[in-house]
Amino acid sequence: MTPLEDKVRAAIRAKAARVTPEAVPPLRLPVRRRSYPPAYRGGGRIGARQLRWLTPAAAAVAVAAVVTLTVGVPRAVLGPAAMSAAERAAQENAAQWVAAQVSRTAVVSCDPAMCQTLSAHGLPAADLLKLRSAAASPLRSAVIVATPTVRREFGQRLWSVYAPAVLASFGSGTERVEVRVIAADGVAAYRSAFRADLRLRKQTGAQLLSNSRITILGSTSVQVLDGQPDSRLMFSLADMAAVRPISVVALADSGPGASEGIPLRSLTLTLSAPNPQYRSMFLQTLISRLNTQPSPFHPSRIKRVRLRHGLTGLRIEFTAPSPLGLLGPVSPARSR
Amino acid sequence: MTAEPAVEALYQACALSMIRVAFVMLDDLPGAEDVVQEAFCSLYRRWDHLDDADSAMRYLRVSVLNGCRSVLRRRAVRRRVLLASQPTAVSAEAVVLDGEEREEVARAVGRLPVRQREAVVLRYYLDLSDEQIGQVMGIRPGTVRSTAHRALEALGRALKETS
Repeated sequence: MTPLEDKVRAAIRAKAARVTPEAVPPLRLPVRRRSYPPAYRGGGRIGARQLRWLTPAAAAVAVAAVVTLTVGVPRAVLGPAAMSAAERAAQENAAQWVAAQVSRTAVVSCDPAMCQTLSAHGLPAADLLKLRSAAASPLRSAVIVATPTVRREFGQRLWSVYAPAVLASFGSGTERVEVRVIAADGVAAYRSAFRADLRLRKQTGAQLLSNSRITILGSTSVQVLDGQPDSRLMFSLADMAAVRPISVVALADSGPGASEGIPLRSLTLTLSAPNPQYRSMFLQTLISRLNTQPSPFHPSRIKRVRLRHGLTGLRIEFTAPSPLGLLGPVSPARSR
Repeated sequence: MTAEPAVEALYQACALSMIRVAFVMLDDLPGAEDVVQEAFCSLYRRWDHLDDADSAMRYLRVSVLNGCRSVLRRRAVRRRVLLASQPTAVSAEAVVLDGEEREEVARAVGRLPVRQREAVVLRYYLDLSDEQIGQVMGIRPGTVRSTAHRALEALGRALKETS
């Protein structure tokens, strides 16, 4: 360092030292985080200068928090750990499921290693929220891939604060990898919206069963009455039945190991057309109609399938996570 | 950690150094306090979008510098409107405490262009590396080096002139 640099450093530090610790006013944070009332401006300043010191107890808490923040957090970086074959397989299966089932508009939280696996399965980097440390919040995302690393770092906060429900689970024991839905507005709000949504799905299911243009076969009718289909499927069923009488053959795709009540997002149907030669044409009509549906009622996949007895059917799938509140009178709850 | 205790903790740890940085930049203590308060409020609102403690510190430094720039800009406009530049008064006590030479250097730092002053303060007060300064100022490390070099040259010239 040159003599001039020494002089500059000393001069700047001497000038800075004129600001004594007593001059630091207490922090005045905005009352509400989303709207911004700048509490510190205007009249607040005068009072602020008079309240210079925190009580010793509060100071001790603050020091402990600083230590946690500056020392604890960097240590809690979610780095790649040694991975067993079972865990690797679980991650691979989870990545496949996410790539196939999760909406492409949804942001996915993951630890760096899992994000790499998801990228390899075609998920764009912009849709991945890399959790570099346990201090990172996954609330900006729609789902989180809970690997053993993520569960270890987040602990109980994972399901009690961020992600209460499992969409799919792969592997077993401590090596399992779960895909969980994020509760953007908090767990309590999510549970409340989920209960309301289930109630509406049950009501709608009963209406669908009484619709003379919809035949629901076997045990599928019990699932519909239980409100198990995704609300987008229920909407599509009613819409298609208005065009042609249909028969619902099966409901599926809640994801392996999903939490209780997670909606089923796929159904298989066939047409109740008396003349087999018209079936193909009518199916095409339904496909065209489904393809013109706006978001979120546009299915992610529509596929012709061969059913038993030589029948041709249609499989319709929607992406995860299921939006809540679509059937209700109020605007849909945020599910990201 | 939720936003409020984390930001409070960060405030306890860094507010003084941030106010000092802003004070050296602005030569105005109430203005420096305002800038730092604004920076912490902004950090609090953005807390959920930050990845870790490092990015919080980076965000804070950038906010403080941006706040200082805004104040300096407003001050420059005011001076143009008033058609008179009023040099900041230095207290006699400060002169005695800091010594004539230091005071002269500090005044010369205060007369540097804003970008050069930022580079000098971040380098010689916060001891940041050129890469870190580049991140805060939004410029490349090479530009940081050349800016700091030009600042030192200007300071050297200014001090020779006054000696």
